[in-house]
Amino acid sequence: MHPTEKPARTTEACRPEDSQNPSRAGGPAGAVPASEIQTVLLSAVEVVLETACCAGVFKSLEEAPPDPRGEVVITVRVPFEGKPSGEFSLHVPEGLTLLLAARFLGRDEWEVSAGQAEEVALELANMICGAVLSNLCAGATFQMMHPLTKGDGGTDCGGAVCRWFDVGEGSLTACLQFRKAI
Amino acid sequence: MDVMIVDDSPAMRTFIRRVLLLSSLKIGGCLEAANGEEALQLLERNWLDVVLTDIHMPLMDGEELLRRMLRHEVWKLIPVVVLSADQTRERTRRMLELGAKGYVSKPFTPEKLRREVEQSLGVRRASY
Repeated sequence: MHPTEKPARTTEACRPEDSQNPSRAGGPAGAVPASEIQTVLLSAVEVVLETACCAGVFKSLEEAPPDPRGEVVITVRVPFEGKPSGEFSLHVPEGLTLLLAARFLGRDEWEVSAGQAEEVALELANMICGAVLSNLCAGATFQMMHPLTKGDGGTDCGGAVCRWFDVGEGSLTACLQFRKAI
Repeated sequence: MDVMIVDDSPAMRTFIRRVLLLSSLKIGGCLEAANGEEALQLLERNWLDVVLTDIHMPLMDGEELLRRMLRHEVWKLIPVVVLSADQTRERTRRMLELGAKGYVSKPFTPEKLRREVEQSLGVRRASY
């Protein structure tokens, strides 16, 4: 590697068997490249939104474009403990949360309360997290904790691998961060 | 067929009920419980053909519900299908080894749910 070239970004992960994989050399044992997490985030969000909310992903980027609307963002965090440990988070603007909740529940938007919309956001985060971890860590032993919401949490996920999704009626961001074992 | 949905999230129960309606399964009654304890109370008063349960719930989780049902003379005949966001091999294996007749990862399509429920009923019939 050239001295000025940045090493590929990797993150602590969950596949002990992968420590033997030469393509993963250079990082900590079992490290998963950020690019692989990006791919898995994309696939998990697409499947969950399509199956649960009949919503498609029109565009997806590794970084969120600037959003001048400044809408309140609902943040849902799903911590997971074991091997691996870490946190998944989903950041959805309030308006989009309501729309996705209406589709999830099979109702019209005006029939959905803010509480129900938040509850659906929790469920979506839980399902996306489950899909991401089962893909990255199918053989691992860990437990997903109960999801937690944080109103207007913004999309700051310092250190996590994030991906932004345009779903037509709005956009959302999904982030994953593994915690290193102590 | 009479079904019980066990999940601590009312939104998820609504989703599952909606998917059941779309699945073309012939659903008669559909009971809902928010945890294993509520589910056992409903089982005391109702006969069901299949129980669809989440795993992580307060008061009594899906694993304990399954254990209690399997210890009961009559309830052990009711197939339990686990519906969970946890898709890891370890969790799936554990629930199936405990005695669940099916395991479906959330979210699921009506077709997937129908297949799993029909299969669980077939397993039950074969074990008579």
